[in-house]
Amino acid sequence: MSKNLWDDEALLKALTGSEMEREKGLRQIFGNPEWKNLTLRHVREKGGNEQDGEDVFQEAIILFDRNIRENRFKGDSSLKTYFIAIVKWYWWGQLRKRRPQDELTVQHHDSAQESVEARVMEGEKRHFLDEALKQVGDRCRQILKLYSLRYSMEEIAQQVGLSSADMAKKENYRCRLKLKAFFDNNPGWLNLVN
Amino acid sequence: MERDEQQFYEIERFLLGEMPEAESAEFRRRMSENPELAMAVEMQQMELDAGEVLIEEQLRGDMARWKEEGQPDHKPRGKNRNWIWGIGLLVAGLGVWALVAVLQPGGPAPGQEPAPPEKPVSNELAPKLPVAENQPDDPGNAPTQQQETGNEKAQDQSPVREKNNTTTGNARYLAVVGDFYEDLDAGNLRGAGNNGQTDPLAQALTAYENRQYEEAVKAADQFGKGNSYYIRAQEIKAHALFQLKAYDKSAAVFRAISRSGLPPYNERAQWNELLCYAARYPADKAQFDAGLAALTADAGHPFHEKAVELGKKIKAVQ
Repeated sequence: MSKNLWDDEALLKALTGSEMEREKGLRQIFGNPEWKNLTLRHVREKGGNEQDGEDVFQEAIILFDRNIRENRFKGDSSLKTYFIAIVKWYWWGQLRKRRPQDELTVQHHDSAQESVEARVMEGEKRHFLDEALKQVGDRCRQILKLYSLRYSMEEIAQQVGLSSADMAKKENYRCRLKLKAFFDNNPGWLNLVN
Repeated sequence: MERDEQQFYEIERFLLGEMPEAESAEFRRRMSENPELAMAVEMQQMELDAGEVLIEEQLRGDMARWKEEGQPDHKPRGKNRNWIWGIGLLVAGLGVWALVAVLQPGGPAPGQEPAPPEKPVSNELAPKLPVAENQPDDPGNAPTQQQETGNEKAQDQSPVREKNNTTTGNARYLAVVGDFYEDLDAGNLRGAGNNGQTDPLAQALTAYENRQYEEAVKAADQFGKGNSYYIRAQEIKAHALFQLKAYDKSAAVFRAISRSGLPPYNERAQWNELLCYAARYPADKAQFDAGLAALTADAGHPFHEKAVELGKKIKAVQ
């Protein structure tokens, strides 16, 4: 493990790189004391406790990773600033859920200068998707994950032991049909659409 | 409901942001006029979200593991008092060096210039290498670490062990192996294809995740040949043996898995077998060279590039 904190460029490259690179990059974030302390301090200042801060830090890493992969980060700020904006945005959402009766003003959400909206996977939807994923088998799970990580079909073929990119493409399509079949049989999924 | 393949890929391009802006705007217009298309888009978004669930699951598992393992060893610059520890360690180190220098017959005489220190090498993975005697083809026959413990004392004094267990000598290779080794993807093995029933591999996986590697080996050994979970159980066993630093036994299990010809297990196993030999380098140089040659010759192998890189790194530390 590097003894130095990574710069933004290295971190961006890692998060959109191979699984091994991603793990190293994500671990850097997880072990970054500055980012963590800023998170804990913000949550504490906005009415949360230590455990809230720990939870928010982990959720923010998940959202940060997703936003980076989905190209939502436009490079208008440093990654640290962007990460903390996600922390603020997420904690503000949590406060709204916890204290719906309170009038939460923009003072509670002081990251208006940052556009950090992220797709939070709510519990019910996660549960439904977990069930769907149980139906598709090991290889499909691996393919679906790699596809979401934007691996090329060639890379997917290599990772799961298929002979060519074409085979990976067909297999991916077949896996998607399996998910579709589950959704077709469980039309309640429409209620879970964001 | 059938799926129009052409439309599927069009929606995919839209959702993944691969459409030019004008095409994307036109697509949105069509969606607003065509509820069926809009629903197909929603469904494909849900399918993509399923992939995100898998990524998220893995990340949550990783974070739990990192938390247990402790923080990475980087520190923020400034605003800390590590220099105090640094000075303390330096003084202690100098004291130890002086003591060793005085006690060692071949050590430098007082006032003599000491030999330059070797580049510091991580001992984190320093092995207690078991002696490789039988290397069975059947992974199920590979002895467990626990079975070996009775021989540990005798092995400690074995000249072969002495030769292989040059901790500082092997530490360089082990550090390289540490950079390349990918831990067992327990999340991927867990619950595979069991449709919500109790996972037969749960006991082995849980033991592995709790770092009870000997327990994991025992649990994996319960799956005999012919059992549909056999290969997966053997993969857990091989990684557990690796974690126990029984690299020769681990190599034997990985080798047998690689001979199963069942992708992706066999390909992963070939790579991990090579890492086991690297961990025992230079004792297992011949096996390492043969394994490396096979992987580097096969440009289509999923671990081809890593093998090339590993070969370079091992050569560099020789």
